[in-house]
Amino acid sequence: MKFAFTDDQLALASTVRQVLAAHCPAAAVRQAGKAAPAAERLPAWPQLAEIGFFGMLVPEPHDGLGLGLADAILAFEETGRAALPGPVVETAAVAPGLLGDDDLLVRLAEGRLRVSVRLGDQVYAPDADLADLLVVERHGELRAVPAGSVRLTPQAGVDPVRRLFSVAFGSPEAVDGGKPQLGRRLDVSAVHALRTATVAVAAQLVGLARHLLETSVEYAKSRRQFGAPIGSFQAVKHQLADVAIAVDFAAPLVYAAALAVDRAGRTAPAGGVDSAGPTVAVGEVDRAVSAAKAAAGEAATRAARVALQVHGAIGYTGELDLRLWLARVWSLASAYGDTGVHRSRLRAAILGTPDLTRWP
Amino acid sequence: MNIVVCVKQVPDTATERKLRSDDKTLDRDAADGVINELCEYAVEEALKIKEAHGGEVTVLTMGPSKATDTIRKALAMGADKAVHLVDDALHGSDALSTSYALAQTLKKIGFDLVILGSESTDARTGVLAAMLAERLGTPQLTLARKVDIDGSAVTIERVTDYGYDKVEASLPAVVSVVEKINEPRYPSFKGIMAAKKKPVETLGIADAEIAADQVGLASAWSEVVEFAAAPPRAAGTVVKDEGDGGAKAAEFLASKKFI
Repeated sequence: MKFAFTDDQLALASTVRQVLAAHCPAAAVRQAGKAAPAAERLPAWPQLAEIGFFGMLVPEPHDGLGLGLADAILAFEETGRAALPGPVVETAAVAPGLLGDDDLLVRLAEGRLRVSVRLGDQVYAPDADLADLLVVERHGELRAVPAGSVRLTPQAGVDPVRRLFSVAFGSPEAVDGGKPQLGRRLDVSAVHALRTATVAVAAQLVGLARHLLETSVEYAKSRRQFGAPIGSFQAVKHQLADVAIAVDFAAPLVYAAALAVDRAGRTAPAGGVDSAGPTVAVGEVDRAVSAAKAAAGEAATRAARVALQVHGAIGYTGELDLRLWLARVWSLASAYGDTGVHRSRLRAAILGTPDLTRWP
Repeated sequence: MNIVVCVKQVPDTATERKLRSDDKTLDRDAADGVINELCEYAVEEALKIKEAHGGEVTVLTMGPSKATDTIRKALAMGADKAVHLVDDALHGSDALSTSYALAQTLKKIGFDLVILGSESTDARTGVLAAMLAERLGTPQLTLARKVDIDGSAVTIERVTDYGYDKVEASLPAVVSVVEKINEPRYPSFKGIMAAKKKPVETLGIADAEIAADQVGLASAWSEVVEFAAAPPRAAGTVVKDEGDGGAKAAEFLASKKFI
C-alpha cells in the first residue's frame, strides 16, 4: 500500500507547528505546571481554536471539518513536539467520537468545550480540573458528567503539567425508573474512543521523541569535553542513532494505526481518508493500535533516557526545559496502556490468547 | 472592490541563500521557497479591506511553477482566487522588467486596488510598488502602516524617518505596506482545505501581452557583474590585562576614533 501524506495533511501540521512555536514556547509549558489560573495553564488553546484545530474530527454538520484520525495524526504529533498542556487528545480526538450527534459538538468544534475522560482500565482522568465535561465509564455505561458535579482529587503524578485526578461522584442529579442517574448516558461504545485516544497519544509520543532527539543532537554539537564536542564521541553517536531508528520505526506504525482506526471507525469520514479501501478486521485494528502505542512509547522512553544521558547532570535540573519533555514522555508512555500492556495485547492478537499455564 | 495582492515566493531566510554560478541569478532550487514575509501583511490587509468593504481578493504572483505553494498559502489565508504568471522567458527579470510584466498582467485582469509588501527578503529593491504605479498611471501610496478606504478615496499613513505622512489618493491605486500595519492571520484549517478548490489561472507572457524582448535576463537593465561569499568574520583582538588593561582598551578605542 502506498502511504504518503497529502499536501493538506502536511499543511495542517505545519500550521499547528507555527502556532505552537509562537504561542506555546517552553516557558509557557513551564508556567502551565504551576498553580496558575486556567488561562495560563492552556497556552495556545485560543489560537488553536481560532484556526479550527478542535473541529478537525467533528462532523461537518456540527461546524467541524469531518476529517479522519489519519488526516489529523501529524497535527497531534506536533502537539507532542511542543509538549502542549491541557486535555488535547481527550478534547480534540476522543470527544468528537463520544458525543455523537450532540449539540455539544458545535461548542467542541469552536474550542469552547474541554473534555476529559476516564474509560476502560483508566484509574484517573487526565487534566480533569481543566475540563468542562467528563466522560466516564461506570457500570459498563458511558456517561457525560458536567465537571462541576463530580469531586476531583489530585493524585501524585510524574508530570506537573499533565495532572491526574480520581473522580468521585456526588449526589445523583435525577432519578430514572427508580434508579438514580448521574449525568447523561452516551449511546456509544468505548472501544472506538479508546483506540482513538491510544493512537493520538502515540502520535504525541513520536512528537515528544523527535523534540528530545533534536534537542539532544544540538546539545551534543555544542557541549565540549576532552577538547571536542561530545557528539564526536562514538558512544554518544550510537545512542542518538538508536533513538533516531526507534522513532523512524515507530512513526509509520502510528500512521498505519490511525488509518486502521478510521477504517474500522463508527462511520467513514467524509472527505478524509480513502474509505473505499479494504475494511480492516477487528483483530487487526487492535493489533495496529497496540503495535503503535508500544513502539511509540518505547521510542519516546528511549529518547528520554538518552536525552538525559547526553545532557548529563544538567538534564535533570528543574531549570532546564528538558525536564518538561521528559515528564510528559513518562506520563504519556503509561497513558491508555503502557508498553507492556500493549506488547501482551499484540502477542494475543498474533498468537491468540496465550496459554498462561505453560512456560513459553 | 477588486483587490489584487502581489505576492512573491522567496528562498527561506532561515536557510543559506545562493546565486547560480552560470547566469548569476538567484538559485531558487537551492532553498525551500516560502511566501515573502511582507507579502503576508499585504494579504492580511487585503482580507481586512474585503471584510470591511466587500469585494474580491485576487493573488497575483510571478515566479516558477513551484510558486504554486505560495499561492496556496495566500488562498488558505482567505484570498478568493489567484493568477500565476509563469514563463521561462521571465527568468532573470530585474525590477524594471518585473514591474512591466506585472503591470501588463494587472491591466489584463483589472483592479481597483493593488497591494504589495514594501520589499522582498531576497532582492530587497523596494521599488516595485513605485514602478508599478508609474506603469499603471495610478497614484502610489507606499510604505503604509495604516490604510483607510472611504468610497473611492484611499488614505494611508506613510512611515517616514520623522514619523508619518498622511497621504490621500483616489482609486485605482497602488499601496505598499510595512510590517507595522497588522498581524497576519494563520490559515484556518477550513481555509487550507478550501484553498485547493479555489481557481488559479496560469498565464504565459503571450496571454498577458508581454513583449518577450522587454523581460528576462537578456533585457535586464541591471546586471550582476560579480559576486562573492561574505568573508568570515575576522578573529577579535584579545588584550590580556597585566595592569595596563584599561590603557590598552582606551588605546584601541582611540584607534577606532571612538574616544
